[in-house]
Amino acid sequence: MDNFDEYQKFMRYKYGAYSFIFLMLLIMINYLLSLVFEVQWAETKELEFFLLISIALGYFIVMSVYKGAFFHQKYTPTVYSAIYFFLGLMNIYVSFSISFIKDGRVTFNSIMLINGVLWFLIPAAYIIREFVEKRRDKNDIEEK
Amino acid sequence: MAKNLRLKTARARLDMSQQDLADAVDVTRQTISAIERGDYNPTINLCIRICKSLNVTLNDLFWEED
Repeated sequence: MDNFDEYQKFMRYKYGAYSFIFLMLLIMINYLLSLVFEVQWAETKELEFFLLISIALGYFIVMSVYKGAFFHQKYTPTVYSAIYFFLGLMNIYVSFSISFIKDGRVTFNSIMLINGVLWFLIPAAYIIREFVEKRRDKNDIEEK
Repeated sequence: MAKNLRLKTARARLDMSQQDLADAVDVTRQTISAIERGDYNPTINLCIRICKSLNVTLNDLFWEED
């Protein structure tokens, strides 16, 4: 965490805690689903947990990028966003050539798609943030 | 939290962009932006670094007036 400034650290701790609480909620809901309705939506329980963790991780990534706390101070976000965009695109493209649902259950092949989506979230959140900031700066100038 | 317009004014007086000030105090531009918007309360260490960079006192920038 040495390469992050105090605001970035604060944001990462804050959204790290939120993600953890979110993950706990997801795990509880999933547990209740399997307890009450005996529902199993993925091939194995381990895969279910992995996918739930991916959702919480996705939330953390999106919020960190949006709050400007994802990239180190010395990194160039544009370059890394472009790399993550192509990584995500490649993973998503490859994942569509394999089936990730079998007998109504999510299979291990979905990991590729989830990976792709997680990579893809970084540039997506970054672009949205840039757009929002530009609009905010424009409003600030107009206010003057 | 209210916007910190005094920080913005002090920065503009020295013709510094958010990025210039961020580089001077070793933080990201987003941090300076968050302080100016009033979204983030900086630590006293960062307040001092900002004041030194802008040649002003803590009172000038961060003391709340009634």
